[in-house]
Amino acid sequence: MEIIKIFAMVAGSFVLFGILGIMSGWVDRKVTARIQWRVGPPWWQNFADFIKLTGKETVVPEGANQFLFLVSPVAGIISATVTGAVLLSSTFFNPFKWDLIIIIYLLMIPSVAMVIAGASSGNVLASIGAGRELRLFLSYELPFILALLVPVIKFGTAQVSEIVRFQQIYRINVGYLSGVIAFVIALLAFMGKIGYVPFDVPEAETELAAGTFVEYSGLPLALFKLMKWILLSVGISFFVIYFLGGFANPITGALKYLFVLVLIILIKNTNPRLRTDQVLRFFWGWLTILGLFAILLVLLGY
Amino acid sequence: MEIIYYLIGIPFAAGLICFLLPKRMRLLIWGIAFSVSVFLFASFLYFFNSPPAPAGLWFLWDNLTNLTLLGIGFFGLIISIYSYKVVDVSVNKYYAYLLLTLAASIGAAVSNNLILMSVFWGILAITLYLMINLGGPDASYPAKKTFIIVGGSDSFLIMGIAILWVVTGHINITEINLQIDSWLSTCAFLCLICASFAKAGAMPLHTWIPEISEKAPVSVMAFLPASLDKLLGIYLLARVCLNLFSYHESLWFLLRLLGSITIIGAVFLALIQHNMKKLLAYHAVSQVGYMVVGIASGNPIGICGGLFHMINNTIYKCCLFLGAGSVEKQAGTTDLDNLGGLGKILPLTFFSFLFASFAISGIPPFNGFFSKWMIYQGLIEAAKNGEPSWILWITMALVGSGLTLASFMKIIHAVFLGRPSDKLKVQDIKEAHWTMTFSMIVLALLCLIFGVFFIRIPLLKFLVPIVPSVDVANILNLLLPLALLVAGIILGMLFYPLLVPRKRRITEPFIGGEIQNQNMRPSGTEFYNPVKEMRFLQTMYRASEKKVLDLYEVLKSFTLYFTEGFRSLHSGILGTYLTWILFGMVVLLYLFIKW
Repeated sequence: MEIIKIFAMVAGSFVLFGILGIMSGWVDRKVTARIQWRVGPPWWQNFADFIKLTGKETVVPEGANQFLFLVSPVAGIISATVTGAVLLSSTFFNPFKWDLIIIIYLLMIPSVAMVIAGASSGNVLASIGAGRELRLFLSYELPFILALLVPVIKFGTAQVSEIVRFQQIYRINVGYLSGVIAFVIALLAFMGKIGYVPFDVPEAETELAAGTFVEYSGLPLALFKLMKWILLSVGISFFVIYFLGGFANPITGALKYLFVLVLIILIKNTNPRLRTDQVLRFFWGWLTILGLFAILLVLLGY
Repeated sequence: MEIIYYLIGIPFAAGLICFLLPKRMRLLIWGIAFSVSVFLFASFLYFFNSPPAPAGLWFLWDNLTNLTLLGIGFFGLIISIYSYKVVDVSVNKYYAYLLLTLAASIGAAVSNNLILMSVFWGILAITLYLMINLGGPDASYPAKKTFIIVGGSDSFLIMGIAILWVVTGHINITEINLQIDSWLSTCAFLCLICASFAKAGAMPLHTWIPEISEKAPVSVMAFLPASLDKLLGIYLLARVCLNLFSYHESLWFLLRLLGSITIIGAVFLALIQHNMKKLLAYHAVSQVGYMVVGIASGNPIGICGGLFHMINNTIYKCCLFLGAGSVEKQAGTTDLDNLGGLGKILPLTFFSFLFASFAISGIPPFNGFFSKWMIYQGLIEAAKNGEPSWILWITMALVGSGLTLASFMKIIHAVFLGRPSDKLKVQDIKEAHWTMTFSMIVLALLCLIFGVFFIRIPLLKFLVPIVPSVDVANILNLLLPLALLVAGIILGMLFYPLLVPRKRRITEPFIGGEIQNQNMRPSGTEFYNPVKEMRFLQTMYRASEKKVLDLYEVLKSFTLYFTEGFRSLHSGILGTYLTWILFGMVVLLYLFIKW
C-alpha cells in the first residue's frame, strides 16, 4: 500500500508539475510577446509543440556515446520530477526533517544531465556548451546556497514545512530585509540553473547553436524541453513555499506563483546575455557579497 | 586473544616469505598474497559479530576497531585482486610490502596500548615509503617527502603519548578520558591530531598525497592514501576525539575550521589540474575535510556522518584510483589533454568510474550523499549552542560538494566522453583485464548498495554500534525521499523503452556545415580557465605553484636557513677537521693540567 502511494506521488508530481510547467512556458511566451508588441501563441501551443517534437525523427551524431546521449534526458526528467515529489510530500502529505539539503542536491542533477548530454554528443559546440554549463553551475551554486541559508538561520531549522509554518506564525520571509535580498539572489541563481537569459551561456543560440542541445532532435529534445518546464514550475513553487509563505490559500498562492513567474520573465526580457567571465564575476562577486550581507542582516535580526 | 597474534603474524610471515621468493615465481607470490588477504577478510567478517577480545592490557577490539579491520581486510583483498595484471616489476617486493602494510595496520587498529600502536604506526610509515619507491627512480623525491611528513608526525604521536602518560599516568586507550584543562593536555591533543592529519592527509599536512600521485604506482595510491591511510587516520582521529579526550569547545572549533579549509582549498586546487591522478589526489585530500568536520561537530549524528563518510570515501576513492589505473594501463597516459572518447572502448571502467564520481559528488541515491547529509545535519545541530560559525562550515561544505561535482564532470568529459585525441591509438585499446574490472565493479556496486540500502547495512550494522546515542528515528526520515527517488528511477526504467526511439539516423555532427576536425577538440582541461583567472584565486594558485602554502617546503627552507652556518663547518676537508680536533685536544689538555 505504502509502495503504491509512493509511486502515485511520483506520477502525480510528474503530471502536476508537467502541466503546470507547460502552462508556465506558455505564460512566458505570451508575456514575452506582449513585451515585444506581438500577439503571442494560444494556450495550447506548447502542448502542440511537445507532441509534434515527439513524432519527429531522432538523429544521433557519429562518435556519440549513444547510451548516455539517450539516457540523460530521462535522468533529468526523473530528478526534476522527484524534486517536485519531495516538495509536495514535505509541504502537504508527510513532512520530514532536513529536506532542504535533499532538495538542493536533487536540483543539481538536471545540470549534470545537461552536461553529460553535451559531453556525450561528440560535437565540438556541445562540448563547449557543456564546459560553459559546468562553469555556470559552479558560479551560481555559492550565492544560491547562501540565499537558501538565510531562512534556515532565521528559524533555526532546515525543514521546509517548518519554515512554512514559521512564516505563517510570524511574517513571510520576504517581509524582512534579509529575506528580500535572499529571494532576489536565489531567483537570479535559479535563472542560471534553468539557463534563462541573461545566463543562457551554455545554450547561446547565436554562437553555439543551442550548445549542449545542438545534436538533439525529436523525442530526446522534447524530453529535455519537458525537463526544463518541470524544473521551472518546481523551482517557482519552491520559491513560493520557501520565501513567500506557501500555498495555504489557493488563490493568493496562485497569485504568488504568477508573480514570481512574471518577475523571471521580465528579468529575462530586459537583459542581454552575459559573457561567461561576466557570469562568473557576477555570481562570485556581487551576488556573493550581497548574500553575505543578507546573512549578516539576519544574524542581526532584520 | 591468541587469534589477534595470528591475524597480525600470518600476513607478516607471508610478507617475509614473498620478499624472499624470486621475482620469477609471480603466480606463487600472487597466490600467497591473495589467499592471505582472503583469509583476513573472511576472519574479519567472521569476527564481526563476536569480537574475540574485548579490552585487554595490550589489545582492544570494540566496534570502531571492528569497522576499521573490516575495511582493512576488504581493501587488501580488492587491491590484491586488482594487482594481478597491473604489477609486473618487482612483484615480490610489492606483495611483501602489501602484506606487511596489512599486518601493521591490523596491529595499529587493535592495539589498546598506545606505545604498541605507535610502533605499528612507525612500521606503516616505512612500508608507505617503500611502496611509493616502487614507482621507479622518479618516485624517490616524493617518497622522501612523504617519509619526512608522515614519519615526522610519528614523533608528534610519541610526544603526545608521552604527555598523556605524564598527565594521566595511564597508557591504555580504555583507561584515558582526559578533560582538556591545561596547556599540557592541549599539547597532547594537538600532537595526536597532527599524527592523524598527516596520515589521513588533511590540510596543512596534505602535501605528500598530490606529490606522490603522479609517480607512485596507481594501485599503491588506491591502497594507501585512498583507503588504508584514510581508515587509520580517521580511526586515530575518532579515538582521540571520542575516547582519549572529552569535548572542548575551542579545540573542536579549530578542527572544524581546519576541516572546512581542507574541503574548499583542496577542491579549488583539484579544479585546475591537468592530470587525472593528481586531480584525484587533491580530492583525496578534500574529502578528509568532511570526515574531520563531521567528527568535530561533536554531536552523535555528525560523528556518525563522519565515520560513514570515511567508509564511503575509501570505497569510491579506491574505485576512482583503480579506474585511473586501468586508463593508464590501457591508454598509456593519464594526461587529460591526450585522452577522450574512451567511454565506448572501456565501458565497464567508464561506468564504475561514473558511479564512483556520482558518489563522491553526493548525487542521491549514491552513498556519498547520505554521509554528507548526516554531516550537514550534525553541523546544523551544532547551531543550537547559539554560535554562528556553523554557517561558514556548512556553506564551505555545500559549495565544496558542488565544486567536486564540477571537477568530476571535467574528468568524465576529458577522459571518457568528448572525442578522442589524435595521440590516442583508439583501435589498439581494449577493455582492461577482468581482474581489474571485477574489483572496480564490486566497488561501484558497493557505492550504490551503501546508498540505496543505507539504513539496512551501513547504518544499523556499522554505525549505530559505534555511536549508540545517535537518533535513528531522525535518520529514518530519509526513507521517504529515498523511496521517492527509487520509485522515480523504476518508473523511468519502465518507460525507458517508450522514451527511446527505435529508429535513429546516424549522421555527422552538425557544426554549421563545417567538417569537424582534430583542431576542434575541447579536451575539457580548459573549462575552468576563467576560474583560474579570477583575481583572488589567481593569487592563491600562484602561491600554491610556488609552494608557499606547502608546510613541508616552508619548514624546509626555514631549517636550511638556520643550518646554513653549520653546513660550512662540515666542508668535508680533512685538514679542517684535524685542525678542530687538535684545537679541542689542546683545550682539553690545558683544562686537565690546570685541574
